Amino acid sequence: MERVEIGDVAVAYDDPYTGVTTILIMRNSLLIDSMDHNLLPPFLIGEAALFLDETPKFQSNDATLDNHCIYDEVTGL
Amino acid sequence: MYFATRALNDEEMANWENYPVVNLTPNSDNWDPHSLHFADADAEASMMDCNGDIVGQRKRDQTIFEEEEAEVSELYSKPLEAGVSELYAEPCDWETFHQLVDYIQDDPYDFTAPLTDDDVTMLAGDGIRAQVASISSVLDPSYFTAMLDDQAMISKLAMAVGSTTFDDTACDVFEARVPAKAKVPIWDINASAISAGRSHGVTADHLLKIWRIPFDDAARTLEVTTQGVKQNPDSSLSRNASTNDRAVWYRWVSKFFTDTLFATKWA
Repeated sequence: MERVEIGDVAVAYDDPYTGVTTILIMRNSLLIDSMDHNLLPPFLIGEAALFLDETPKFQSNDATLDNHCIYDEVTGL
Repeated sequence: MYFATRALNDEEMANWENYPVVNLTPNSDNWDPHSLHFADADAEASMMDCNGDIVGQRKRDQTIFEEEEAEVSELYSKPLEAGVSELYAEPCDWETFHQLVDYIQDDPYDFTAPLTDDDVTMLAGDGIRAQVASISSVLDPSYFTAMLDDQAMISKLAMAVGSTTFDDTACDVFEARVPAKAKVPIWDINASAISAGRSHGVTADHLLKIWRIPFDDAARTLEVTTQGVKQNPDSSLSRNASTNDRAVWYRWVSKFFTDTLFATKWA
């Protein structure tokens, strides 16, 4: 791919349980017009000091709220 | 994993400070996905020892600064984990350093943590406990338990590093901020031993232990390394500090050396 723009992006996330709106920041994102979904490497989420668990709850031997989630300890999101 | 997001509206863009902000990626201007930092001894490789076992659990978001020091992390305007890596690229200036030191001095203890029932009991009977504990530490269960825990932790740590002695004194300024799990500053641990007799050189087992490398690597290192002159660093006896270094003067033939050529056949 050529001529792909790189930018810092902010999107809003509305917590369906608390209703709190949180602004999510993604630095150095590749802006591709044809995509309407934001893809995020799990490795980068870990590098951002967020807790990440990719195991679906229904596949977990001992399902907890920690499964299949991204958790930010600072904001509690 | 999928979750729905949306674009920010005008109000959210104008007053974004009023909303919680989460960085989904490292808050850094640059990131090199080809960096060897993640694979080499700085990161992934350092998590396992030569036997393939985990050497220690590392809390993901824990850094040299404690996580509750949000004010400190804000000085760098970066997430805690990413902030440390940035320190290597952007050296800390003196102003930031002094702010950090002032912050540590101003807040040596966390008084915001709620008291447990044990804390309340200990505070209420502090005078009595002090009198009883002054007779013998075993008479105060909590004090005795704490001492046992400390000693057990010290013992495990000493075994892990191969040390029999250590000094737990450290700088008062920074020791107060050392996490509770690391009450024994590892930089003050000294490994020492007493042995008698002449030094027999370095063994593969010794290299394996102090360098934490596989046995095969240690053996291979010794195969390509000569130990012609062996000095015992643990001995202060002058007779053990031999000055005879002729073993490294001459070329070696197999397992011996000589400065005299013996003719075995008539020329």
